[in-house]
Amino acid sequence: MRVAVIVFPGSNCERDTAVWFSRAEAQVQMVWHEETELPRADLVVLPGGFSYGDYLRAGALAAHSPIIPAVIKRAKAGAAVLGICNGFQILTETDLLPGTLRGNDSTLFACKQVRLKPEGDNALFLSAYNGEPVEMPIAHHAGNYYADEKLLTRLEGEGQIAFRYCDVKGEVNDEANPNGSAGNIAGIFNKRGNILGLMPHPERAGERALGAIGGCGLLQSLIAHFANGSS
Amino acid sequence: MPKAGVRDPEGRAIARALAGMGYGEVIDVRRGKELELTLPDKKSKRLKEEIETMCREFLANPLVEDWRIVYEEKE
Repeated sequence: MRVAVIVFPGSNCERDTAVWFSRAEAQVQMVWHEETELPRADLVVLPGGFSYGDYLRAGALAAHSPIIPAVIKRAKAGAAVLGICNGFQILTETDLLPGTLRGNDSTLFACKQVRLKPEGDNALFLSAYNGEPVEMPIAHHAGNYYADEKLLTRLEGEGQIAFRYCDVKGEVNDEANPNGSAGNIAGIFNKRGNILGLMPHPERAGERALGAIGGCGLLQSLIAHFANGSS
Repeated sequence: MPKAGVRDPEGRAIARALAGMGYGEVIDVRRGKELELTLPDKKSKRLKEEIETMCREFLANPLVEDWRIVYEEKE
């Protein structure tokens, strides 16, 4: 499996992301944001961090980086795209994903383990999950997913919700919501299902030594999909 | 500025701080942003339309923000 990880000025999770994939024997290439072409890749990843210092709005300036038209072209052609944390913010700013991420309701930076309930039957990203809650860490100031009533209804109807914050029993409730996100939404797909954006960090939940393994399912799903030669 | 009806936790936190300082007559606070663009003295109609576009497509997030454009002469 070939992975291209985009690096913006201020990205800081690209190396953890690269290690997460390369330990599963994927070939990883870093792509600086000033490039205008992407290498051949099965998956394009927009990693976490603080691109452009979150100036103007988180992800707003990165969404106009020179590499973005190539990412949009790939995404619209159906290639797999994964946005983690700041990457999710950038995907909403490019309109590749609907809605937006706002400042946490608490006004605090949220840095802790959370439980997530995977939802739906997206084979590309979620096949290795069984619907049981998993743990991943969050680390964000603006992870508060906002969509109006109409958009929320549409997302739910189209099966575009990927993960919701839940408690230890898998209940989706206010106590389990770390940032005020509408519907406890932690991650969403685009309508076609080839683009996933999520605020939690799966690359920090890939092995027991890191304290959480909730990211393993995501990696295993992707590897299973591309190992079958379905590039 | 945050749109009416959109939660503004920062504004709320500021209002609570003011109340805590004894300024209890402040009913509500909304926190927005001000951007100052330096432009040529003569502004064409096209430029003004472009500024509207800049706001809608980049400077503001129309999902959750309203904006106001004010032209001022600077000495």
